[in-house]
Amino acid sequence: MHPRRIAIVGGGPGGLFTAWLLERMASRRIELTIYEARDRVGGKVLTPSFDSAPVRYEAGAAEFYDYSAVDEDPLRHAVAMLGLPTQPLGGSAVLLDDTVVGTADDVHDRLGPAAHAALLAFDERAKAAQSPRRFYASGFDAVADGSSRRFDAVMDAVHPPAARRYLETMLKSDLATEPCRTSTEYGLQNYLMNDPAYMGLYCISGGNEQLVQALAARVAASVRLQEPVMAIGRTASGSLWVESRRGGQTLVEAFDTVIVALPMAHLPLVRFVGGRLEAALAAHCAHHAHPAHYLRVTILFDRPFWRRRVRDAFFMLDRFGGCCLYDESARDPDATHGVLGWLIAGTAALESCARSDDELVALALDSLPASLGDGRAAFREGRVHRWPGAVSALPGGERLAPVDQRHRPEPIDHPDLFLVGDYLFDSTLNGVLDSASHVAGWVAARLAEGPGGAA
Amino acid sequence: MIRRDAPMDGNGQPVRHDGSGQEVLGQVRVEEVPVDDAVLELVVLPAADADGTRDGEGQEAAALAWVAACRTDTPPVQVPLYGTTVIWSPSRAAILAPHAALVAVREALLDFARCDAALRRLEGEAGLLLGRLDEDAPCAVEFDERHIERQASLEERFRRSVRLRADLADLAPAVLRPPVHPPTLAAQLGERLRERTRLADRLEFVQAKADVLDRVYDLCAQRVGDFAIARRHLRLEWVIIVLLAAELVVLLVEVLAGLGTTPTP
Repeated sequence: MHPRRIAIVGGGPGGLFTAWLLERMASRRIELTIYEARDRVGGKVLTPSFDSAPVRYEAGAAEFYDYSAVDEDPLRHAVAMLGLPTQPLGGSAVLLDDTVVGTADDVHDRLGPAAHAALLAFDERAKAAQSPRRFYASGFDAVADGSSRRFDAVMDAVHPPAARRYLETMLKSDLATEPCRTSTEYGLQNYLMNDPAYMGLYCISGGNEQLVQALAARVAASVRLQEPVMAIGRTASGSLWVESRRGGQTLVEAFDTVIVALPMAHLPLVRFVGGRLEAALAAHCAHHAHPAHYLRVTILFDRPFWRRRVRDAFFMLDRFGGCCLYDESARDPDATHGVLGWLIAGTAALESCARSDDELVALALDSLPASLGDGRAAFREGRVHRWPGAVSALPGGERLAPVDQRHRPEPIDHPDLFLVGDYLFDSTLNGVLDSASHVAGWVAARLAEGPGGAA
Repeated sequence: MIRRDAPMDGNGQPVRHDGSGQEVLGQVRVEEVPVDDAVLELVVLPAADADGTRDGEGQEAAALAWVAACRTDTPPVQVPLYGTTVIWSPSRAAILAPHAALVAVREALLDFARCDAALRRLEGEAGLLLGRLDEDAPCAVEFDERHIERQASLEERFRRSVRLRADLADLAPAVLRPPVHPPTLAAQLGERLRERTRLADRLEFVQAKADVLDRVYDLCAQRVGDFAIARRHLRLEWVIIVLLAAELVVLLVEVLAGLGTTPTP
């Protein structure tokens, strides 16, 4: 029996997870081909080093979510299976007007009793809306929670303004969009993720990119780097064809199954041929295209001068409309240098993408509160990574489609074409693994059904 | 609670800064606070300003030196958090915090110190009991006349292993309490102290030791009990044998007496 030929379009974490899971689940021989447009696999999981010193930093996904306190955590399990060491990340400080608001006591003392009461009321509302278990299962629900309100309606109800500003600054980098562009449920989830009863945060010791490297090392797939896929359609014989470009040449190959694991922003770059397929993909893109944006500025300093005031692994800053600062050097216990990573999100990130690297580094240095220390005096090197439209924010009132529908946009004429993506769940690495597991399980089940199953 | 004035360095002298004669900590009040079955020496130093931006590095270094001078097997744990610093070792601790936070931070530190001291006591107890395990383990398989003189000590260690298990069950909720959210300064300090000293892991390790002790002493208790029952049964059997023998003797006497008499026609 000849092996089933499966194409995976996209060598990011979604494509790699799908390949890894498929190879473990398939009950018959498969031949996997991964198409990747860039010269590396891993997509948004990227841990480069500075030029001036061999110091690593996270340029893309900064952390993983740990749900193991609530229930099974497939990503945690996968990381353990791959033998990767992890370390927890924590931080609760928000820097407002050069004041460190680290705890609820600080909210009371520095923003006032009314702001403290507003914070507690907001917290109570969020927890009443979602239990940890519901939070855990939220990505799988076909209907989010019936909430048709946008998150800004919730934020508008927060008084006094100091409390609202504190909450907005705290939430901005997680939301990656403005409150008016996302749902109440999604907004509250992004608040609840700060509560350890709902989830924790961790990173991989030695760099998050080890995850994708470990996956790439374990999959037996043929990985075709720098070979973008231009179009996908169905041949007259019934199989699917994939048109790609390699070194200026156009190549067309036939496959039994095609899994498209591209970020939402890249999906429209592929031409889907066939009336019904084209319409289904257009509808899929229209449903999910609610781009949220990130921009990362990472600066290497001679020393971690800010730790006299803030020692958290990350903290929030009221600049760039609210951004998160990661103390990247806190991940390395032997580090003598200091590395701060600005995670700028939402409209501020999109607008800043047009600026030059030097400008952005200068703006980042300027954004440091004076009381943290003199960043310019300790500056050594700055790096910028732009991620416009990298994730999807659930829009206000939008309801999630059923899980199967999200992953197979056109089940009638193209039951063998699947989609995988973080945007199909919660725009996180945990979400992309959920998506990959769903599709890998589905394809494996079709393979087990027999020759007709996957064709 | 005992209060006394004490010098603030490891040599029993007032702490001075760089030999300049400027007193950094000076004579401060040291509390002696009972924590479980130990005593914690505690100093509380109000920070100069509420934002934690005080120039208190000298004060902090002196406090660290004082805490480190107690020379326990555990090096001091230093937890700085948003302008508050807690330095702790099992027998000495120092708090440097803004005035407004002192009471809550002190309570959080003492709460942690009580947990740690209780766990240390239980770790010690588990260690002592495990030290006797090789000696006692054979009695979990067989207990007979040869071991009779050890019955009292076995019962004592069985009682202690049950007590250990009960104390662990009592301590677990305090060690494994969920994090507070929204976080307060005191709760965060407590959580970080528990994390740094690995209280949850240590509790798990002692529970694993208690599991082993449970098994062995539970079996020992069963064997001792079985032996006591067997001994009672043996006594009873002898009593029955003696009674049967006596009955037999009486019967024989009666029969013999019957043979010696002449029946009358």
